[in-house]
Amino acid sequence: MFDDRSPIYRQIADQIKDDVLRGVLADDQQVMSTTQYAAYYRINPATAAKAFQQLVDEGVIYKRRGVGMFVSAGAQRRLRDRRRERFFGEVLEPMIAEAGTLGIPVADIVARIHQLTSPGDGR
Amino acid sequence: MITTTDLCVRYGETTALDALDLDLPAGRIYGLLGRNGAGKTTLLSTLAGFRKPGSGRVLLDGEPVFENPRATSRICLIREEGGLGDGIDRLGDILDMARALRKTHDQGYAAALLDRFGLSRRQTLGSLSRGQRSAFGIVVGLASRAPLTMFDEAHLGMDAPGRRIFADELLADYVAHPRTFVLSTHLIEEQSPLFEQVLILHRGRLLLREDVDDLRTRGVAVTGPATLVDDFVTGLTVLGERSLGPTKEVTVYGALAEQDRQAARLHGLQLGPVAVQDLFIHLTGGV
Amino acid sequence: MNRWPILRYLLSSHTVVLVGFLLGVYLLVAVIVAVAAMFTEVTVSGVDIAGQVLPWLAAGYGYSAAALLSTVLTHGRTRREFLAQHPVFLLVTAGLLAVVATGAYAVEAVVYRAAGWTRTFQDQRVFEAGDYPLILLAYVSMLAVWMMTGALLGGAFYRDEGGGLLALLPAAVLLSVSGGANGFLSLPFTRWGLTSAPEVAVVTVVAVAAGWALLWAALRDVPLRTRVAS
Repeated sequence: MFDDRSPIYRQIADQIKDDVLRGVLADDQQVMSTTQYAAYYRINPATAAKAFQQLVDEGVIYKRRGVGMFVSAGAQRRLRDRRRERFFGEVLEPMIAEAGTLGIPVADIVARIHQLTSPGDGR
Repeated sequence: MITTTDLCVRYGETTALDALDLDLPAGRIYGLLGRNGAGKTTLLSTLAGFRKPGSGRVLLDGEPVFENPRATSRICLIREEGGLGDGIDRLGDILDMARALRKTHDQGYAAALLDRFGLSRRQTLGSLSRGQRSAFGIVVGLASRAPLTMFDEAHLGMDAPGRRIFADELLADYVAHPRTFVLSTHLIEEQSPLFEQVLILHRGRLLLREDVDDLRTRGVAVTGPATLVDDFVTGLTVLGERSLGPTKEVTVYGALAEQDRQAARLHGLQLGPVAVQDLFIHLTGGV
Repeated sequence: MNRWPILRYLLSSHTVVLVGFLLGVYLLVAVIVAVAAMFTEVTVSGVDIAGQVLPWLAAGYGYSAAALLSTVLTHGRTRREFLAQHPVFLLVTAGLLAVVATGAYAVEAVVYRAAGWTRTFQDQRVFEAGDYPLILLAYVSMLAVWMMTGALLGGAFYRDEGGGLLALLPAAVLLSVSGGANGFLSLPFTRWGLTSAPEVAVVTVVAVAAGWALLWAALRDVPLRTRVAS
């Protein structure tokens, strides 16, 4: 379920963020409670609560007193923007560096990208 | 909830607990880890009033525990062996005894738990397997609903499905009836997600106390060419090291500063996380 | 919580079982006497012969007190509560069992008379047939002292084995001194000639109190055992 190396609360927070990003959790939709998360993953409720606190701090979810946790309006867009920013730095730049080490011309990479994306959805 | 001050327990020449100071606030699940003979059972027995402190004090909400019914009636310790009855005692009779003697005992919950573990009131204690006896101990412990409930190796001899039922019931009842739990275990990787905080006992002393999730980030494994690794870890808290040919892996304790991480990257050293169990092994003297 | 939870629990469970057990013993005696009567002439009291076995059963039951203490502690009670309430339970139970025994003597008297059998008691008995108050007292005395002595031995062995061996000495003193008075363990040097009810009662009270005090000393701060074996 969890890898035993990074903090569990971070792994849970990342899972919920992924759900928001992919639209599984929509704006203002209620998120499962910390208790439900704790029971489902068999983890200490305090650990689940810590994950939720992080998501509240990041503006991904908000708390309605006495009701539960809900997805913040525009959370999906904000998460996407943030990931897009990081995409070039964290995914593309290391890839180009690696290609340089291996002596793969940039043109080859571009060609492969066209090949992979064109037949699919015709973009 | 429960505190110890300068707690010592000796058995003849051996010191089982050595000037232990502990303060466990209420409402959490604590994991008690330690090697065999580290003093876990002695600590739990003393906290529960099963054993008199050699010296020092054990207080539950400010009151001495030993021979104080106001305190002991709020504590339940289930040990890996004995204390529930004789082999000829039927489980139902043992639970009736618990109900007669303990105000907080919930017989309806006990019946539901018996059911979940596939036990029946009519079975005798002596007819149970090792794992079933552990399961019955869990039934008595959880159904006690004692504000401080402790299990010493609760799951000994239990199979994986049984341990899963234990985890589920523990968490569900902890949420429904918040109270303090202390669980000692050797199954670190499996059980540690249940804990909020981990206490590591080593040679009668408290070696470490930390939130489980923080503990997961405490260790760093540095891997690379031996000389580079040795240079890098100078000045850091080294817990252990292993070599494979020219490659060396050193486990260091404590978070690395960002400039250390950059320096490592610059030298081509790999930095990896360390699992709680590995950290435990290193901290308690390695193998 | 009710007051005296340990006492209440023991009276509602153990006492009931023990009374039932003793009734079973006398039922067995009746069957044996009936069978014996088919082959031979009955000349001795079956109920009184059973009285030779009962002390040992009482001591055996008393021996389990230390194990009982450990379960009581597991359910959140204290040694002090146990040491205060368990002896009271023993005394009440000894009284009830003695009533059953006395009843058995009375029933047997009627049956033997109807059958025309002679009914002799063991030599050392302090009571005569028909002296039911003294029968009751002698049985209370025997049951209380032997159960308490069993508890003392069990407690001492639970504390540590050396202590258990050491406790054999006071145990022997308690049993022989009281045995001379209640007639259930009559040794040549303990034939006190105390046969009046007040004398038997005083010896009993002293013996039980001494046993209680020693039990208290053995268990008042005893650590619960950690069994290594199994």
